Amino acid sequence: MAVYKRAYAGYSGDHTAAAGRFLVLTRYGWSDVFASRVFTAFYVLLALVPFVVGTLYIYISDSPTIQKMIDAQGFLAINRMFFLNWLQVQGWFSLLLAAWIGPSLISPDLTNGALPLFLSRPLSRVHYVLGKSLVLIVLISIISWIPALLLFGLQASIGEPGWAAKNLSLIPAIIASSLLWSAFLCALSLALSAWVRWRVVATGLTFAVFFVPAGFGAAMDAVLKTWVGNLLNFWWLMVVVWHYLFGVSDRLTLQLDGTPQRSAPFPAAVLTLCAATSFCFVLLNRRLRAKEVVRG
Amino acid sequence: MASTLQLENLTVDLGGRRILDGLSGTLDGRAIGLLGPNGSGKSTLINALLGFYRTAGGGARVLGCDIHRELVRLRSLVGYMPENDAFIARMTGVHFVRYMAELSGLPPKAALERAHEAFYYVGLGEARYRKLGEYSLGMKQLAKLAQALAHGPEMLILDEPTNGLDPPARQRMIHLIQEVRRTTGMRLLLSSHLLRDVEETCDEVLILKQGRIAGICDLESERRANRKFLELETAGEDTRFAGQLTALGCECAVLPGGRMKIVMPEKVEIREIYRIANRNAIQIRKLNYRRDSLEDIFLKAMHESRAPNAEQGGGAPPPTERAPQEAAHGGL
Repeated sequence: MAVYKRAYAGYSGDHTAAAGRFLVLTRYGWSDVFASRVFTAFYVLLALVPFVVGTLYIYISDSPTIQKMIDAQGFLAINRMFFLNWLQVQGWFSLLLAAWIGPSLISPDLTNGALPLFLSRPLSRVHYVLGKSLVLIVLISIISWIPALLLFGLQASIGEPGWAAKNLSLIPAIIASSLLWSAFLCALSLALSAWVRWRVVATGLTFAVFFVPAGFGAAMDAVLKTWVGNLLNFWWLMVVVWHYLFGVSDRLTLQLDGTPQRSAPFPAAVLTLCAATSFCFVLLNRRLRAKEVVRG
Repeated sequence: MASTLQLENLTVDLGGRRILDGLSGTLDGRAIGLLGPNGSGKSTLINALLGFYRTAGGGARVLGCDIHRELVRLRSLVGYMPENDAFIARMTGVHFVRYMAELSGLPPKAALERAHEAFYYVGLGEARYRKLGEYSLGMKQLAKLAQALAHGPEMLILDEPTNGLDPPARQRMIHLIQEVRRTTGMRLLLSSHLLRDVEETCDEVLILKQGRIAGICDLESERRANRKFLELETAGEDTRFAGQLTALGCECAVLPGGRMKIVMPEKVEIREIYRIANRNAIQIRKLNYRRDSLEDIFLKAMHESRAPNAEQGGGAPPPTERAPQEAAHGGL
């Protein structure tokens, strides 16, 4: 099939491996999101600035000379709370990313009915969701657990001897908590964009899911004197998970003013987040059909 | 060579209703038309073959691939052009087709090359860098055809390819489909409710009615058979002429006003009739090939499927059985 001949010829060349074909979706997803210069600049800032700040922080904390110069001895300790706070900041940025990028991944395929074209290829719905999810999960990973591990490595290499061994449990905590958070954000934003289809509305809804039920839950807790309302506050649930995995759960039990704080227990937090993620994937599964069946 | 389409009691239920009811049959043609009124189950059949709908019973084979067990292989062998809009508005045409070709397994470089070629092939070469959202309806249809062709499938599945097209655009689409059929080794499965589209592009037809098979018709053999059916208007002594034609093996019916109806045996050429007419000083004033149009076949299938036996089995006698048609042409 040559352009100048305007004649059809079959394809007899090589084919790519079937197992990795869903990565085409991921590659096109990245090429699409980085086509925007605004997003590219924003993402570079998200990836670099916190990492550079963290690196400087570690460098300063491990340099007694500089600490003496700025009179901050003991204040800049690199401990579990440092990594927890750093990941929480990146957790918020991850939410921003999910709200911005998530809806643009699936809704364009649904808006003009392109989904049957995807699903008529040798590609299952699981592959489709996996390929689209990887776009967001990798973007979130690049600003969360990957730089966190690099910071851990930096501290291990320039910090006091034995620091790494003492804090080795941070590594699985960083990876597990970040993957749970990114899986939840990814499932939520993809499910919302699949159901709403309108990108702006899906972005708004992603934020709404975090703030509206949280407010309702807080009111419920205040009236009923319980922690059950916490389960509607996804951000707080993740904070609970982070504190437990990082081994600083005692920080959760007291508020800043010293009064006891009612908080969802760790198993309830993890289960709720996993259940919410699963529910989002169920919603996605219901929506991602090549053809919809109208009942009645 | 595997059959193009084999249906084995294929049944599909949607929304609690039976949409396809035990379809069975084998179609070996290179270009198969799915014909039927709106709501007869044409698109449902295509969607079931592509694995979009779960079957309630039975199965099917497309190019020898079982739609349940070999779906991935089947999907890599076909190119699908859906009925409705199917595009990503913000993508350029060539980018979109390349994307689809890569998903079908072509390496990026080959996919890009074939996307360009496919766009030129369907006649959209100059518009390939425009965003799909800016295309006219006819261009979108052609872009859908380009994405179905780009990865070099063995079979094209076209669902109402001329939907919403104005006459020139429809003609262009039909020419393209005819060209694909004529010049490539590709097989076609074309669904349409427009008889003319199917007649112009297909050589075998599966007629559906209310989710059942109303008829399977080999258009090619039908055309060949019908070419031997003649209507004549003559002037002169036609009894002897008719006798000599009968001696030649033809079946003749002499009607008032010098009109004759003749069914010629396969080996007899039409020039023989002129020769005999000349010998008998008969003027042939008018000679028509009277052949069933697809419309006749379709209407007959629709009519026959109302018979109780057809309603039960979905297997109305195929319109290639000629008895009713011949009766309609003068009882020969």
